[in-house]
Formats: sequence, structure tokens, C-alpha cells
Amino acid sequence: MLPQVYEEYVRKGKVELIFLDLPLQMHSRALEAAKAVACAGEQQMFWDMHHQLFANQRALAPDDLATYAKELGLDVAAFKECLSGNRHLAGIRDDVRIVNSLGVYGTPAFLLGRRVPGGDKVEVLDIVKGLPPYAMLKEKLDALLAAEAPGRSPERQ
Amino acid sequence: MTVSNRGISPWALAAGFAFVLSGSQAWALAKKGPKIPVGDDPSLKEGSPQLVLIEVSDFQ
Repeated sequence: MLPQVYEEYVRKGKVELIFLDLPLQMHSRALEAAKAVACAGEQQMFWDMHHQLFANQRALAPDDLATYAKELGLDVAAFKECLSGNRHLAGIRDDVRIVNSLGVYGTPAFLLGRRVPGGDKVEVLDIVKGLPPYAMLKEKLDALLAAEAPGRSPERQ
Repeated sequence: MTVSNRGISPWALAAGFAFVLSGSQAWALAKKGPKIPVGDDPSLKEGSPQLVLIEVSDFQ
């Protein structure tokens, strides 16, 4: 579903995609995985690691994470040093606090909103809990795009 | 019993009405949706789209 969203909305400049962490306690590897993508982000490879981990959700042991870092061409020593520390923990916990404040406690979930002009905030207009079919998300995105640009069809943007 | 407003200036009434109206509009705008900070969070975009899709997940 997300690859379709990326092709149809992100690549075409219609929608910005943002990621927020919500590592669930019931998922024993989730916190380390969240740290791994943040550490990959230090080497400008956040989304590459993001895709790698989603493609390998059953293999998230520390050795697996290091293997993915190597496969992505990261500086593995720097990656491991980052992963063994806790410098991204506060950011991850901030994400959890923000998401929980919206009543979201499970994954996945999707928040639809718009950038607040001149700031680093997003106004959340809709929340989808669970993994929606692409058609449902498309309908919601198209409706918001139409509302943002009255009189213009989203397909013509 | 009747209530007279002859002692109140029409301008004051208009100002009061405008205040109530603007207040209700501000409330309606604020009610649209909660605002969350996303300053440091990773994002993917082309250009400067206003619409945002936030993926909330945990990889497992």
C-alpha cells in the first residue's frame, strides 16, 4: 500500500510522507528496530533502512540489523556505535507521547493532515487505525487534496 | 417587564457582536484538528506539498 502512495502522491509532489515511531512493548525487537532506522538516518539512509526492516520484519536481531547496515553500504562501525547508545531514545519516546496523545496505541496507523504554515507542526485532520486498503487511503487523500485546492481536480495537479 | 438598550451605543453592540463572532470562528478553526510537532521527524517529499501523511509504525 505505501509503495502505491509513494508513487501516486509523494513522487508527484502532492503529499509529504512523515514517519513516527510507535514501538510496542509486546514487540520485543521494535525498540531496537526504531533505533536502527534512526541510526541509519544519521548516515542519510533512514528510508532505505525503513524499507529494509519492513521487508524483513521477522529478522530484527542485532546481527540482522548490522547485516542490513552493511548491505545498505553504511559505515557499520558508526552504525553499531549509535545502536549501542541511547541518543535516539528521547526522540522515539517523544513520538510515542505525541501519537498516544491522539488516542493511537497500536500499529500501524496513519495520520492525515496539513502543514501549519510557517512552522514545524502538522494539523491532524483524520486518523486511520490499522492497515487500510489503498483505495480507502486514496479516497481520503483525494478528498483532502480537493479541499485544499477548491475547484481543482487532484488528478490535474 | 421590558428591557431597553437605549443606554448602549450601537457601536458597542456591533463591537460586541464582532467579538463574539470572531471568537466563535477562532474556536471553530482551533477545533479542526490537533497540531503535533514533526520538526525532527524524517520525511519524504517532492516540492512543498501542504498535505501530509504520517505513517505510525514499529517495524515488527
